[in-house]
Amino acid sequence: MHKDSLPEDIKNLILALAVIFICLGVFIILFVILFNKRKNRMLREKQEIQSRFQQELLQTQIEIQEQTLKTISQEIHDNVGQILSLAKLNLNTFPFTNDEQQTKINDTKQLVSKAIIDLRNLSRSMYGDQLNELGLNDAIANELSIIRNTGQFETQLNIEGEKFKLSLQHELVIFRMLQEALNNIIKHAKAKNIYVTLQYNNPAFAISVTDDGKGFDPDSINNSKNGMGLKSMKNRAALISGNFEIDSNNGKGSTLSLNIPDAKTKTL
Amino acid sequence: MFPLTLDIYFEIGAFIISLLCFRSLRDKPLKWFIPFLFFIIVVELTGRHIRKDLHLPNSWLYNISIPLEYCFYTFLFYKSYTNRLFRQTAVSLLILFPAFCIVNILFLQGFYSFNTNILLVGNCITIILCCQFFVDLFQREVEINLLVEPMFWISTGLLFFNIGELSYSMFYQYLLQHRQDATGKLFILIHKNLIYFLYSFISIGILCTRIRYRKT
Repeated sequence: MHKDSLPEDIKNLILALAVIFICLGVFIILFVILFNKRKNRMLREKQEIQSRFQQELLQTQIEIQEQTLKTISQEIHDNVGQILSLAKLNLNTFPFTNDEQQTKINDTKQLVSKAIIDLRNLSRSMYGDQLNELGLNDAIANELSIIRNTGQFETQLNIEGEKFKLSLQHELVIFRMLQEALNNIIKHAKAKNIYVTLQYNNPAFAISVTDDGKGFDPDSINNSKNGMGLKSMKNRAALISGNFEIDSNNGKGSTLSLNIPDAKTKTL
Repeated sequence: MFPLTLDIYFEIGAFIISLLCFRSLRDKPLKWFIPFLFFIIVVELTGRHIRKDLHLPNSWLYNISIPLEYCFYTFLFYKSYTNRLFRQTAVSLLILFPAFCIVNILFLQGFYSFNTNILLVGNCITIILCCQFFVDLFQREVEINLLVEPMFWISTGLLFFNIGELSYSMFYQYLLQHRQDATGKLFILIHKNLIYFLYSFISIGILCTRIRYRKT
């Protein structure tokens, strides 16, 4: 044997070790692949469970909120409304002696009447059942007319596409989101015009609320502790598998839009 | 020097692929593969020229390039880890390994004889780093498609390369001392076959960045 050449047994040992080590490497890689597959499956299951839990939580929140609104609405209608009606009745039977008193009583009667009408509208607006009575389009038109009657805003409702029936849950969520959007405009936007567009594109449905107010930076709202209304709208949109988008810039008005790809068939 | 051996073509191939995937690599730590692969090719060609054309020993060249290679891979793993402990391990190795190499060159094996200790320690370190990367993958709370995960392919290549080379480097010192396999035939056989694996997997890993880049 040549002195510099490798003895056969050592050569075989090294080669055998190399094969064994590489087999070990193959085993490690196979283990990694299988483990990763299992981990991916578990992650998917976990996400599904979290998503289901989140949906249930949101649904419960909305149910509680609806129940609270109904209770307040009934209280306004049955209690405060009744008291005001009685006050109006008393004013009708109030004995007055001169014209000045009569004018004052009449003014007061008008104010009470207006308060009764406003309270009734508020009660109807808070109580989701007006959706049942009027349907989504008319309920939205009603909301806009209430805002228009304040004299501070011009409103416009556009309905595009052939109307189809949405589930009551969908309608309720959409209606509450619209109310929140309108409320935000009244409180913060300093707008003059409000445009609401409904698009029926079977089975998709979209609604957008646009104003010409001062606008805002959506990112700053998202990152701040404020903006609960917008966050709540996002949550509500998620509940009905809708895509909620905010398009706004400082000084350039804002557009809030909700797009539900499958509005006709989805139920909560 | 010519004709070149097949393993050098694999290295050149990986380098060309990294150049072609430059756009998908540029925002990632993997972009350093472009200068790294160029460096490897230059080292291989220079080593070959010294040995084949000048008939001089070229061990000193590999005593420089091998520590740099392992440092590069350690840096790459450092950038890929999400686990803090693993990152700390990689940083520690980035300090300790070069220190060990300097000590080995200066006081143990010298500059002109091949530093088997560096190879052995480098093999062990890279195997540990690869295993850490796989554990790191398991710990991530996101779904991972391994087939398009560049570092998975690169780690797999590195694992095979180093685990295979370890079988020889474990005996390297013994064989040198007893003047067995002085021509390095067995080492070349194992090393070259593993190089095909390593650079193929590196190429696939680089190509994965392109797939992911296109998807995004």
